[in-house]
Amino acid sequence: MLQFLMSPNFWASVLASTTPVLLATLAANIMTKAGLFNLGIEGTMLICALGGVLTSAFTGSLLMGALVGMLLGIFVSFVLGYFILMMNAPMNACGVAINLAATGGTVFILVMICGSKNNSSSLVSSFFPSVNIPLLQNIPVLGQILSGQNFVTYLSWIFVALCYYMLYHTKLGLNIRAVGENEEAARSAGINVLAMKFIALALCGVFCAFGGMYLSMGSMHFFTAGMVSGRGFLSLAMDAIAQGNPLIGCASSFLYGFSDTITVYLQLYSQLDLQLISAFPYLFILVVLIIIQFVRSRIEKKKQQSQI
Amino acid sequence: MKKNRLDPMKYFSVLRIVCAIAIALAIVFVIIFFVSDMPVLAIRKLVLGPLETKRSFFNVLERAVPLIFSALALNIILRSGVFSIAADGSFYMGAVIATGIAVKIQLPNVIHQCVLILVAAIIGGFISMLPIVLQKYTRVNATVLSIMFNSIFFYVGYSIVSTYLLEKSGQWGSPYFPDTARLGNMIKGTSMHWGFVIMIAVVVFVVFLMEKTSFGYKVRVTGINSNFAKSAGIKTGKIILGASFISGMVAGMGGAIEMVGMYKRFQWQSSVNYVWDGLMIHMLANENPYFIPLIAFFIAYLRIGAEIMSRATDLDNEIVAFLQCIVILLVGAERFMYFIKKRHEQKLALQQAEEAALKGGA
Repeated sequence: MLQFLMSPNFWASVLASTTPVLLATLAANIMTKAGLFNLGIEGTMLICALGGVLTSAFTGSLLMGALVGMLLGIFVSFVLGYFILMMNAPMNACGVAINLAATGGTVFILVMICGSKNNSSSLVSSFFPSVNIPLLQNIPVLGQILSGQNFVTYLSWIFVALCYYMLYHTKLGLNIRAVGENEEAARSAGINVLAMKFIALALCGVFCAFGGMYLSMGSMHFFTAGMVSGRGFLSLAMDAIAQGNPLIGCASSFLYGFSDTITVYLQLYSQLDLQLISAFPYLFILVVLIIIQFVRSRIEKKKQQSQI
Repeated sequence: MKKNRLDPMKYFSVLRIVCAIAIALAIVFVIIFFVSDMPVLAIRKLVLGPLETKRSFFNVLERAVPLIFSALALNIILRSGVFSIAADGSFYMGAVIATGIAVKIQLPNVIHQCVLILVAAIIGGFISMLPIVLQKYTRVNATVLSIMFNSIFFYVGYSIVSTYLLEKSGQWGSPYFPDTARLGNMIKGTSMHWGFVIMIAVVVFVVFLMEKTSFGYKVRVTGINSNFAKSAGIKTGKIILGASFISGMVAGMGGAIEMVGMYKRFQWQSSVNYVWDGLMIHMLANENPYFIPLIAFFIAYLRIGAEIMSRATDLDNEIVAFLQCIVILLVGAERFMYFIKKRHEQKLALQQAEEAALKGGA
């Protein structure tokens, strides 16, 4: 029954279903490093997914679509940032507000423009192409898995590397982490706390935007209502595993991609109830999270004891 | 002299909320004017629609019932300082369990309803405790855990219904509930059910619990400053656990009542997400359980108004989402209309300084 684990197609779809969550996790990572908690990732992704589709449909250009999607992501994050940082609003509630506006607002705009409550398939929008990597695509199994993925998938890997480098090897990253660790100390060291937080929010917006646009302009070629379906929330759990480290975040996203794809295959091959299997990725991530955190807190305790 | 003067700060929070709602409504009206072909009709339907017929007015009342339950549930847990939204899972599972007991077990009238609401409440309570317990041992943010559990319990509940409680023929759904399990109509010609009365009782209970008992006081102190609470000898862990259990009970009860009161059979194929509305109502009520029913009626009124509007015009009822977003952002923002408070505080400080100077002079 488990022979599908051997097929390259399976692993290729693992990578494909990892991509949106990976991008969302990156967004959550950078928020954690800057000392923020963004519940609105889900909503931001949804808004950008729709924005990208509509812009590319009306301008006929993929570049414009991606650009507007990105700007929308930054804009939404800045609205959130304005209320959290300048107006002292609670972070969780603001994130919820963004999510509410996104779930309802996207449907409202969809009805206004496409006349349908469910999807934008009446519009012809452009989408990110799949990329075949020369040389690599000729290697038998590896080529089938790694080559021919969507453009955004490769982009997400580049983002992970850049984000890691930025956080741990540049002055900007150091400042962001300092702000996240201890705001007062960072301020007294002359770091502009507000600017750092807004830079982090902008990056978060960009990652969310590509995560959302991958769904509506990559894996699917139109927008459907509520298409993010909890991936933004899942990314918060991934981030709790990674604790802000993009590389661990990437690894845990692969874990999610794996469990998500296995769910699809199990639904095809097993007798279990479909809905019960759909809970599997959530349960799997939850169990991984609990085990890792449990071990972590044990190690911390031991360290403290040995210090005494 | 001081007694006679009205203290403006007492009404400050009310004023803020009214202003936030007014601004949000104004923005929504502007949106309507821009996108609709018949803006005046749309606004009239949105604002006055629910009052036009008796039926739609009672729709508002019954729509408010689940909102009130989830807002009360959130009120209890959020005031303990833990941002857990596990009430959503409790609500859905409460409805599933109520369906199970209604369909599978035969009991006389009244007892049947009591049993199914009670069991749903207890299981809902345990579900809400899960994230809190896990947070203690793993130090993962309870918000994240509760969101994960909500998804899991939605799928588990759904699969319970489709494996054990499914009516084989026709649309997806459970068999029809027997009359002994349903909450009968209270007023003829409407779908108003006795759950409304239970809701009022629960509101009174929560107000009493949170405002008048030592447990409620401990919950509030823990929420405001958990370090202070600890050093004052309050066992914060136990208090939070207790608060989450009661919150889950209220949510589970709400799910059960909504299911057997409003519906003839279980047909929830997507997660209901009352918890976000509950959160908004909790915030608009200024964390005060007294005001929750009032605000819930207001939100339900808007929802019904929007539905009537979408039937009469070309606008979709999801326009309310913009309103919700703006209201939450503005009410949440401490700095919104801060200048009024600041001016008042400055005046007060000046007055005190003058009085002190007079005393010093004499």
